[in-house]
Amino acid sequence: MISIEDLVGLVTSKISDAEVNVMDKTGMKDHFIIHVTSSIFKDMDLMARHRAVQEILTPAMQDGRIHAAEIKTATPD
Amino acid sequence: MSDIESQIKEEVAENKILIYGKGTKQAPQCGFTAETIQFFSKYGYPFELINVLDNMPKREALNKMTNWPTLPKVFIDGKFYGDTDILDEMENKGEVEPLLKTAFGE
Repeated sequence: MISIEDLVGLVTSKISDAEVNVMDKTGMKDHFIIHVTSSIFKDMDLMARHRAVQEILTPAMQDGRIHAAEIKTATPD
Repeated sequence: MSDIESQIKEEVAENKILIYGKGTKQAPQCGFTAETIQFFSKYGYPFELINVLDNMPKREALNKMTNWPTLPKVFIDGKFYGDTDILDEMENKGEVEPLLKTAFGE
């Protein structure tokens, strides 16, 4: 389990300009849809964007705070 | 290269659409694997699902080979495409249909 604030903080601590929208899919605070919007994605292809977000989430995935994360990425247009 | 890695390379080469996931087509054991099955069923092309739920050595080899920590893992025409998070975004940009068409030589 992880609170939405902590999850958002985890992402913004690494991607400072990230706008992070989190939806708790099951209400159990461990299955999330995470939308990350950031300008750093501008020159990153889709795979690189998702790897970057996954890397940030890895500590919370490994210790079980997050069970499943559906990641969506976007650049601010 | 370990025999697991060569086995994976063979499986990837033999299947134009290959999913490594948890469970089987009839009984997916994870929501994301089920989503991936539905994703490809829409297109009507044949695809293979290899169940690695209980095969930790193979899962570790796959993680290392793809630098991608989660399942399912999707390969199309021998290339790694992550999971439905990636494929959904590609689909929104109309990139999946042409990719499958070239994979199946249409």
